[in-house]
Amino acid sequence: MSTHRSGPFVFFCAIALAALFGARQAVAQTTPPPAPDPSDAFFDDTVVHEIRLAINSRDWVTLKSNYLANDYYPCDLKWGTQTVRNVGIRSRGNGSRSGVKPGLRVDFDRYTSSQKFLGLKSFVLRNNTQDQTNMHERVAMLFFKRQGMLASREAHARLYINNAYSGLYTIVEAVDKLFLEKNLGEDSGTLYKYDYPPTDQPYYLEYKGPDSALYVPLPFKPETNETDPQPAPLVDMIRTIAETSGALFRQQMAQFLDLSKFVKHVAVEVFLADSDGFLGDWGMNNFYLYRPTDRNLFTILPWDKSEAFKDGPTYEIFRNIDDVAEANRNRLMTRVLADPELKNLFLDTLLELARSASEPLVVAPEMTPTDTRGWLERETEREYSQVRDAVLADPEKAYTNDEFEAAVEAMRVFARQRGDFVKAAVARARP
Amino acid sequence: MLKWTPVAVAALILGVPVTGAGQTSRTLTTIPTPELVPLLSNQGGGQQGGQQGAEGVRFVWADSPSLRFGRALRLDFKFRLQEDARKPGDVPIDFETWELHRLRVGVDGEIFNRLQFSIERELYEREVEDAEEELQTRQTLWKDVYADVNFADSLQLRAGQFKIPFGGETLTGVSNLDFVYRTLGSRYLTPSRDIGLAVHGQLFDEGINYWVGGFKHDGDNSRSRKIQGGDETVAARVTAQPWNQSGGPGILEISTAFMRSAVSDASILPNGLRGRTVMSQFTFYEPVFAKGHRTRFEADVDLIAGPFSSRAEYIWMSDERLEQGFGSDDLPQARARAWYVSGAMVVTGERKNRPVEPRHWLGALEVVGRLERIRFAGVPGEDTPFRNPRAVTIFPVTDEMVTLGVNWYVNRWVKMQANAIREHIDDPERSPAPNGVAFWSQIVRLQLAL
Repeated sequence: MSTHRSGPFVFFCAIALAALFGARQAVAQTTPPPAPDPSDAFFDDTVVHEIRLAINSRDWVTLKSNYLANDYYPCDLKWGTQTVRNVGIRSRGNGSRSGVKPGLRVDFDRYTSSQKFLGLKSFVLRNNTQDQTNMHERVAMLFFKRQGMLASREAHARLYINNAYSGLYTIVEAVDKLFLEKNLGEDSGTLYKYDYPPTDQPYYLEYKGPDSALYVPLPFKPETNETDPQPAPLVDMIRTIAETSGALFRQQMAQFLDLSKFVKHVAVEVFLADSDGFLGDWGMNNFYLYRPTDRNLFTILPWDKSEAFKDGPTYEIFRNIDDVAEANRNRLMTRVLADPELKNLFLDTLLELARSASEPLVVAPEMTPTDTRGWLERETEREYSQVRDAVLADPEKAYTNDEFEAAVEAMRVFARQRGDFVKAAVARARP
Repeated sequence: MLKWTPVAVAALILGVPVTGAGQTSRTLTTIPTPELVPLLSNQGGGQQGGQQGAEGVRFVWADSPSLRFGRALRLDFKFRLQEDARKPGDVPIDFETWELHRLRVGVDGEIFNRLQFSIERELYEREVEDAEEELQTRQTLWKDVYADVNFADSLQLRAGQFKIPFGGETLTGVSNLDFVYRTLGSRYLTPSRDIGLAVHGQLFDEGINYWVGGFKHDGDNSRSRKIQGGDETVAARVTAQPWNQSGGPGILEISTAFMRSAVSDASILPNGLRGRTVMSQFTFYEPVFAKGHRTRFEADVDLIAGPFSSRAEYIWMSDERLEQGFGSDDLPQARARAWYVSGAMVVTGERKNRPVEPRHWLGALEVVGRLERIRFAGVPGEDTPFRNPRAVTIFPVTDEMVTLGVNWYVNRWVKMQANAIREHIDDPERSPAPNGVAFWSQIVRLQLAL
C-alpha cells in the first residue's frame, strides 16, 4: 500500500525537482552574467591615470591659441601600455575654455568611423579651470550614481603633451550612443544636449510658440539623429508645461517625463548647491534629454557639475524659485512645486539625500561605524588624497596651491554641514 | 540672382539678328587659349588691329566692341555673363538652385603693335563672394591684369597677374569650354592665376609655343580661406602642333607642363590641396599639412577634326611633408592625380571651334561627353591609412565623374549648355551621398560673352 501510495508522490517530487533544476539551468543559460565592460579600467577611480598625447607641436600651439574654435587636431593617445593612433582632439567647454590649459574632447572615431578604444568612441578631458578643488565634477557625478541615477563615469588623470606634464584633468565618460545603449538598452532615439549660447537671454523652459525652430537646434542641440531630430514631442512637452491646467498637469506630463525622476534630479543638484544646473543662476544649463524613437518619454541626464559646492552649505533649497521674479523661475519646477504631492516628494528626496551624504561607513550592520564621517566627507577626502600631488605639480592650473587647499577645506565644511542645513530648510518648508 | 535673367534673355534675343557680324571675324590658326595668346598681332582680334589704315578714332564691332585710335592704340571691350539653373544630386542644405554665376568685364588692348595688355574684373563671382566662408576662395575679383611686350614672335615678355602656364583646360577661357564645369583636376590640381613674370613665344613657324615663368605664389586654385597654398613658383610649358591644317581637316596640339613651388608651414592653415564635388563643392578630401616642395606635371592633347574634337589631359601633383608628423618627423609625400577624356561633335555640321560659329540662324548644336577621375592619396607609410591631415599613410579617395551634355550656340556670343553629371566618391565616409552611392547633378547655363 505504502509503496502504492508513495509512487505518485515520488513521481511528483521527481518531476518537480527536474522542473526546478531545468528551470534554473534555463535561467543560467538565458541570462549569463554581464560581460565586464572593457572601459571600466579606464574609468577606475581608485587610481590617478596617466594619459599621454603625441601631437605635432604646431598643432598644440594652434589649438591653444584658437581655443575658442572647435577645430580638430590629430594625435596619438597612450594610456598605460596601449596606444591609439590618429585620434582627434579639440578644445571644448563654455566658461571653462582656456588657452592655457584647454579642456579637450577626444574622439577615437574622428578620422575613421570604425575606430574605438575599449569600446569607447570618445571621452572628455575636463580641465577644471573653474573648480579649484578639481573634484566638484567627480564627487557630484558619484553622488548622482549613489542615488541610483544615470551619470557619467569619471576618474582623474595626469595629462602629458609630448611627454611634458600638462596638468591634472578629469576623464569624463561622454554621453553618446554608446552611453545610451549601455545604460538605457537602446540608442536609436534623439539625444539633445541643452546648449544655450551664453550671450543669449537665460531660458526658463517657457513656451515660445509652436515653431520647433525656436527650440531645436538651439537651445536643444540634437546629438543624435541630427538631420531628423523630430522636435515635435519636445515642443509638445514645453507647451504642456505652459498650458495644461493644474488638475491635468501630472497626467498630461506623464507621457513626457517621469516627474519623480525629474524631482530627484533637481533635488540632487540643489543638495549639491549646483548654481549652474537645471535651476541655475543663468537659466537652465548642463543636462541632456533623451527620447526613444517609439515613445515621447524623455530621460534627463546630468552634465558638468563643476559649479557644485561653490556656494557653500547654506545654499537655499528654493534658490531661483522663490527668490527671483516670476519671469525668471523655471516653468517646469514651478509647476512641480505647485503640486502638493510633488512638493512633498521634493522635500522628502532632499531629506534622503541629506541622510545619504552623511551616512557613515559601516562594514557590517551589527557593528558600530568604522568611520563616523559621512559619505560626502569621506569621498572628498579620498579624492583629495588621490589628486593632491598632481594638483600641486600642475604647471597650467588657474590658481595657486594655497587656493587649492582652501577650496578643498571649504568642500570638507560643505560635506559636514550641508545635511543639517538642508534638513532644517525642509522642516521650515513643511506647513 | 533673378534680376539678371531679363538681361540675359534680352541679350539672347538681341544676339540672334547680328549673328553674321561675328562669323567673319575669327580665323583659327591655333587652338585658342585666349589667356595665353589673346592678341598676337598676326592673329584673330590682333589681325583686326593690324588692318587699320585710317587714322583717327573708330568704333569697330568684330568679336566684341572695339575702339581704334589709328595705329597707336586698340581697345577691345569684353563682357561675360553666366546664369545657372542647377540641381545637385547630393542634396546640400540651403543650395541656390538659380544663380548668377559670373559677371565679368574687361578690356584687351594693344599699343603700337608692341605692347599688349589685358584687364579683367569680376563684378560678381559666386565662389569669391559665397556667404559660406568655407566655400570662398581667396581669389581677388581682379582676373587678368597684365602687359605683354612683343620683342618678336619668338620672344615676348608678360608681367602682371595671369594664368600660370599649366593645364590645357585651365588655360582655355571660361567662356570657351565645352562643358559647364572644368574638370576637378583642372579646378583643384592646376594653379590658375598668380602674379608673375613669364617669357614666351612661338618657334618653328608656330609649331612650338613655349612658356617659362616665375610666380609669387602657386595660383589661386591652391588657396582658400582655409588653405595657405604655396609660394615661389617656377613653371614651364611647351606646346607642339604636329598637325595644323586649320583651314582644312583640323589641328592636333600636344602640350606638357611642369611646375614647382615652395610649401611652407609658417601659417597655421594647412596648405595641401583639397578635393570638392563638382556642383555642391562638398569637401571630400581635406587638405593635409605639407612642407617642402610641391611638384606638378601635366600632359594634354587637343584634337580638332572638322565638326569633331577631343581632349585628354593627365595631371600629377606631389607635396613633400617635411616635419609634419606628430613628433615633427617627416611624413611620406601626399599625392594627387587626375585625368579626363572628352569628346564633342557639332551635329549641325559646323566646324568645331571654340566658340562654334553657327551657319544657320537657328544656331549650332553640339553634343559632348566626358569621363574624368581625380584621386588623392600618398606614398604609403608603415601605418594603416587614416583620414587626418597628418596621417602617415593617407587614406585614399577617388571621385569619378561622367558628364553628358548639349551645347546650343545661338550665335557667336550666346550659348546655352545643359550638362548631366554622374559623380561617385569611393570612400562612403567622405561622400556627401548616403552610403556613398553615385549621384546625378544637372545644370543649364546661359552664357553671354562679348
